[in-house]
Amino acid sequence: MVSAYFLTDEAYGIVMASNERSFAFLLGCELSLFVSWNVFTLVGALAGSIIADPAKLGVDFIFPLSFTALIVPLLKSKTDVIVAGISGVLALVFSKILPGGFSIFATGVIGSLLGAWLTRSEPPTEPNLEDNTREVA
Amino acid sequence: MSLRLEILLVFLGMCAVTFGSRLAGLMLRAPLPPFWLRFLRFVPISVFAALIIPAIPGDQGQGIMRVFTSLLAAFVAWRTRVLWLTVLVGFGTFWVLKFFGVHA
Repeated sequence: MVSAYFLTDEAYGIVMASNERSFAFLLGCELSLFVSWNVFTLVGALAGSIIADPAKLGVDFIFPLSFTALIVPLLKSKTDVIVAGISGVLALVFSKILPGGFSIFATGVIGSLLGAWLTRSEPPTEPNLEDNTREVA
Repeated sequence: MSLRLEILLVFLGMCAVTFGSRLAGLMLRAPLPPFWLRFLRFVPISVFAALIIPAIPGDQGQGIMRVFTSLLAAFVAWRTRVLWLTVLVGFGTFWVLKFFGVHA
């Protein structure tokens, strides 16, 4: 309940990229992001007018860079790299024809379906598969 | 600064929807067939790629520079697995190129 309030893409990313799966770890990621996000939003609101044009500094470039650092440890097999590559191309195409969120969603669904299909011959290796339950999202 | 009632209601409504969907995801425990377990394993890979790739070129006409620095950053991420170092090398290279007047 508490951890859902602070959940963001980046916290999810860090948890998925590490081997730790616990409430404490998730909440820790979320809070460290939440606190710094809000503190620097305040700083930005107070000092924002000093910086001329954030876009000119290329600040938006931080976003793909930080997600690059998150995706690289996830690419463990050839299939992972193939799925990432095709998803990237799909997203490029979709981002031209679909409004923002939809292109990410469509790419995620198609890319993950592709990954699941490519690994259809692999035996299930998930450690927590014994009881066939798993925490979703 | 005055806060109108309908704006406040919109804020509260957005809070409820956002919080509800996040909570549902964390609370849900459902048995899933193996195909969908494998599907879930690829969700972060696919979604991250979808977030990264279209955001690389940017809208300042510095696409080539940014693709080049992204590749460099990906290499750093692959060798070191350190997030801040990846961002620092990527953004640092970008700024150095910019400082020397590269605009491509």
